[in-house]
Amino acid sequence: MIYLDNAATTLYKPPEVGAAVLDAMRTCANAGRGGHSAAMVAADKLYECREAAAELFGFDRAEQAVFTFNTTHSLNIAIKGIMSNGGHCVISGFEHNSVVRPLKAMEKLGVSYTVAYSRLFDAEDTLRAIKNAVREDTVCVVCTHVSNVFGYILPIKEIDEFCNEKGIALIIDAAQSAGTVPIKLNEFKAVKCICVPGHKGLYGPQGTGLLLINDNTSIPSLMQGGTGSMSGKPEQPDFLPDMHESGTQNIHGIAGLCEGIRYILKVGVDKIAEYERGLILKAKGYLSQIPRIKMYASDDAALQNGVLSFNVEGKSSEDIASKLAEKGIAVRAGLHCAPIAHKSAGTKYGTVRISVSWFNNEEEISAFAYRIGEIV
Amino acid sequence: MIYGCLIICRSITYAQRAQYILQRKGYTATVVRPSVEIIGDSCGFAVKIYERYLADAIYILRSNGIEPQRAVIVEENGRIREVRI
Repeated sequence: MIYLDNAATTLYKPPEVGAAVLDAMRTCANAGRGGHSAAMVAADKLYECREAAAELFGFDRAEQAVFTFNTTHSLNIAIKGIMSNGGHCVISGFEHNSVVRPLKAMEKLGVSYTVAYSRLFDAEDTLRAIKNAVREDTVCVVCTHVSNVFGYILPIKEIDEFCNEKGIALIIDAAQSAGTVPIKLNEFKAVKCICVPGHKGLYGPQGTGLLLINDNTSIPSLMQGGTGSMSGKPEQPDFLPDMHESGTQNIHGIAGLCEGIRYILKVGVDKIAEYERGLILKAKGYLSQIPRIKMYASDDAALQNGVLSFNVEGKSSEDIASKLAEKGIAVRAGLHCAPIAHKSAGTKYGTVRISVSWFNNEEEISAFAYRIGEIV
Repeated sequence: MIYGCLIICRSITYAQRAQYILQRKGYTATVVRPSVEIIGDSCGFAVKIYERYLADAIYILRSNGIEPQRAVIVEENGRIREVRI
């Protein structure tokens, strides 16, 4: 199979990842509970992964890395915590439902939100739209770093500057950028949280994620329970990472995630970004020669990462994806859980999306283009 | 029972970071889980170090943003000596 659905999850991982999961299943007990060797081995795995995350995402203290089950989980903790006292939130016009739905659910608790719709691949317009949407009572801006539909890299540094000037918290959804576009927590001023998946660009197992929390940020916990600390007290611990890590961790998954992060550190995010961008450029070159294809792409390579959306005139995106699947090519079609991104881009009925990883190659892109040519 | 000089931390992650920092500075440090008599109801973890390096270790940890909860010396006869930090 030619797998071009890496924005959903990376299928092909570095071999060290699977090996680490298996090893953890054989050696790890419950971290932070017992003091016996199997529990301490498990605790070491968690700590090593926090340190690896600190190196990759640029923060100083291991406890700033909170383990979650996925980006949606991280976003729920961040959004519901920061908006817990009500108020107004601004979100970019390219957000996923994992941002929209928690905010929608909070409307009955006094939270309101505005979608800052803007033109695709227009960083100035995106920044302007966010500035215009901010009100007196705006508490928070939530912004994806990279659109999961179009690969559009949003101007998060400029948005961070603006939020800092206004004293507004910024939450970054790094679902598509973690491991594929450089992002460092300590380079931001207003960012309170970065929400990260383990199973996409970090090549970890599914069921892993990270919530990276700014050192000075205290947000209420979403879930309470056993943490292995302060056990004599009924109150949830008020310190990181325990306050957000109730219950048994996915230690086997995290052991794999740690190896995925180490792999990224070894290869280098810049190198991965350049490689994936090269594959997308190749795909754009091929698709531009096929009639009846409309691509949603940027001429400025700095504005797009390893994701490309397109449509074929007169055919539904789902039809195209099904025909590609029959020919052994995995892509995703439809709304990609991000209807507001489609509203921003004017692609009401969705798109066909290809998304590449470090483990794809030019031959696969060429084969994909050949098959598309046949279908069209 | 675990004997020796123990720096009590509020969670295993803090104990691990303390261990990591001390080891990088060249000190021998081990994460241990002390008994309830030592840690009370906190279910916490501790870093075991050589007693002679306790003052240095506390200074290093504080410089790195870790505030130890307590420090104790557990003698082989089970007597627990609180150390003022």
